[in-house]
Amino acid sequence: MFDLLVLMLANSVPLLFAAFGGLLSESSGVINFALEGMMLSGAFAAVLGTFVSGSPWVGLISGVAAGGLAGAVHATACLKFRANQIVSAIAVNLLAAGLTGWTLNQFFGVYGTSPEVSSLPRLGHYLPQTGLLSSLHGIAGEISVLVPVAICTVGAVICFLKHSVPGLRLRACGENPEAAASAGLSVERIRFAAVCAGGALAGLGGVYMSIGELAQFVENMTHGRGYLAIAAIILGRWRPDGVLLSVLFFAFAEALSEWLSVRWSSVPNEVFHALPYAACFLILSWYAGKHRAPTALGRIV
Amino acid sequence: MSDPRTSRERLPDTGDRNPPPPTLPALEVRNISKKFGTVDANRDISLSVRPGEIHAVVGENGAGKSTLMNMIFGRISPDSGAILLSGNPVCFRSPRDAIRAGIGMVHQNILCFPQLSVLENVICGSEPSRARLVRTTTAREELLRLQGLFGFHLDPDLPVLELPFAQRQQIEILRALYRRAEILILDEPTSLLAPGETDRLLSLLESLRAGGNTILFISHRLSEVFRIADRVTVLRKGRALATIETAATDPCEIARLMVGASRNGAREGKGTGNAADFRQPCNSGEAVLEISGLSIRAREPDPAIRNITISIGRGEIFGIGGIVGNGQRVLAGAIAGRIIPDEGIIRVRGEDVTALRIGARIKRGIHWLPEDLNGEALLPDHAVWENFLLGLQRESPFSRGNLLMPEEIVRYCSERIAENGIEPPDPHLRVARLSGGNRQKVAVGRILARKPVLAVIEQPSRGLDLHASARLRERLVSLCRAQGTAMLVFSYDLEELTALCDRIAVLYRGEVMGTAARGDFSCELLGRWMAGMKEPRGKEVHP
Repeated sequence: MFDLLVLMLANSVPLLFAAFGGLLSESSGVINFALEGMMLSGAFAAVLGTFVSGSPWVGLISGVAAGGLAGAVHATACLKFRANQIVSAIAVNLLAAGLTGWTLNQFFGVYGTSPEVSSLPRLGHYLPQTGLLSSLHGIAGEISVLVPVAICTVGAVICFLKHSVPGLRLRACGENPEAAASAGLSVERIRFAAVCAGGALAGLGGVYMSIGELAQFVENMTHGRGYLAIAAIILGRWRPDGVLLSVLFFAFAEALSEWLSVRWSSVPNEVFHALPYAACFLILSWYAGKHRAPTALGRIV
Repeated sequence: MSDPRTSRERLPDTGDRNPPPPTLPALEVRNISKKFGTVDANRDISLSVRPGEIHAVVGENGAGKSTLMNMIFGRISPDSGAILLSGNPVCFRSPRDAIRAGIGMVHQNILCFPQLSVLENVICGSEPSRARLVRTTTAREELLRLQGLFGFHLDPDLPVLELPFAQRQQIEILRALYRRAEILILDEPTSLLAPGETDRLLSLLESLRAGGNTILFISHRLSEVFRIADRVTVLRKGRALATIETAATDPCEIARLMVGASRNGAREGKGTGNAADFRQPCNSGEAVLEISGLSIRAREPDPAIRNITISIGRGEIFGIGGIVGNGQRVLAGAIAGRIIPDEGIIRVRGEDVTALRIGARIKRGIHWLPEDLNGEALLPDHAVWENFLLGLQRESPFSRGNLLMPEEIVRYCSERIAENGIEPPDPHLRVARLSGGNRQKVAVGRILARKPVLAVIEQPSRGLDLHASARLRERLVSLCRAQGTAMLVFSYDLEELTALCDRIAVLYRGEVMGTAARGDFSCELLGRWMAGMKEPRGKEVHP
């Protein structure tokens, strides 16, 4: 049972980063369907950065920067050029998929999978070998350092949105940009910052997948986690606590499917792999009418 | 036409040549102009507001009141002219600058954040903070203090979307006061308030004035203006006509200035040589449209209408006047079938149509031209022929089976284009490529071609030039006389109504102020009704 929980925690990390990044963007009123592309860019840039510099920490920074850059592209298209926000997001997603695959081939000269690079340290790396905490070695020691980072990030985003001045202003932009401008806020700047910060967080989710869990980049390795994060935002009704709960739910479904596929190996894997998506589909269709998005979501002044 | 003499005589009264007032004006606007495309929204407007006064700005819709206020609040920038605060020239690039300078604004269409709490709505933009975190306790205490001062009772934690309209407006007032605004601009604050709420607001403004605030109050309700304002500035067609002490004038004079009627009153179609001359009075006994006791509750953003009873005969043109937002659109929507009324009955040729859907009404010959051309009447991104076909696509000869018959359609469409004088005469052009006036011709032409039993037409000559609107009026009159179409025309333009209609009723806050027949109506009388005054000597009306 404990390993199921640890599995769930590990699975929730990329979703947490992406969902809370997306929440920042959507709370400011910009639809962020581009989480998938942001994660993917983050994942690839992390491997690239690590490969070039040799340090996974540099990789982490480049991953965050790549996610933020993808956010800046989306924000520029939506806010400056007033592109349709869904179309822009699809473009970012396609661009990220194509660009990472192409660069993978150009830079590493391989198809599909990058060479191995060093990964971010595990939690066990920091645990003392003796004393009380030493009993946590084993499965908990296998947890990436990004897990506690994710937990802190979630707390920070929740606090930011609820209690901070910029958080309140960000939500105001998502509720009514005209009123926000009239209250003296620079709506466009706030939204731009929100989308970029959201992209950076989603990028961090990608970093976790490539050099946190693994130590390499696999083409299209996020396989739909960005979309799942969007589903979690909608399911959580754009409220931080709701989003947290739905992410945990999806992560649990995912963990359960992995756990079950090990237990009942006679059943085809695919059945279990479909579980989180099926759960998402069922719950969203059952829940659809009740949620309430930020009032001005997708509206440019 | 407008009377330039009135403005010339009046202008020196605004203070230019008088000895300078003892104190500098709190707010001064000098020769400000603003153009939107080819439309002059504000032309060379000057205005000076004394500290501690309630200064009313009145004018018909489209006179440029909101444009002027938005420029003072920094939401739009003037093309030329200057704004001075206590004698110092200022240049506001955004509302933020205006807020810093101590100006607060209560917008006509209340600007609030629906899902944020009352407290968050009030403080947003000037939050008390420590280390970038909102100091909620401090903010709450200040909010409660302000509320206590003015007798507001809002729960600081309630999301604003759960509040009724009048209380949302209180939030905007609180927002301005919270920032210690010294100059308060209220853009038609009473347009959606119930009478009791209006009284409360007016008393509040009086107490703010007593507290030293300067207030700019925009309204077209003269009874309110005369109740609280010290001075009143009249705008018409983008120009400031006069600034007058309310004590030295009366509502009738202001009403006259607002609508631009000359001293001897009537400015109706007589003498102007158009539609009015050749018509005979319409007196057929047979009623086509009978509305009795029609009431609809207010549903945001629409105001309520109450107890409306109207009867329109065969071949009659009946006009509904009034200032924007007094229930005209609701009434039109109810007759067309967009809104199902709460009470009352609508009969067309004796048949009760109150609960019929729009489609069923169209089959009975009830056609509606909505006010919002691009949003409600036309498909702007489709070709002219598609717009003319709309509604006829299943009828022979335009379709056979499920196939459209392009030749028939284009022939029909070309006839309509010629009939309505649409330029350029190309049935395949997208409607969005046409000018505003030509789009209007498409929308009107489509309805007239269907030979309606009852036509409900909102703003028939919107966007049409003088010649085109005179031609349209002739067509409307001859259509009604020749085919017995009953026509209900909604317009904000009194001139248009008086030139076109057999009878005119004026809506004020969802009620009929009065009905007058051709010969009895004058712009002066209708102007008074529009401002909510029933008696000629400026007596107030309490609905």
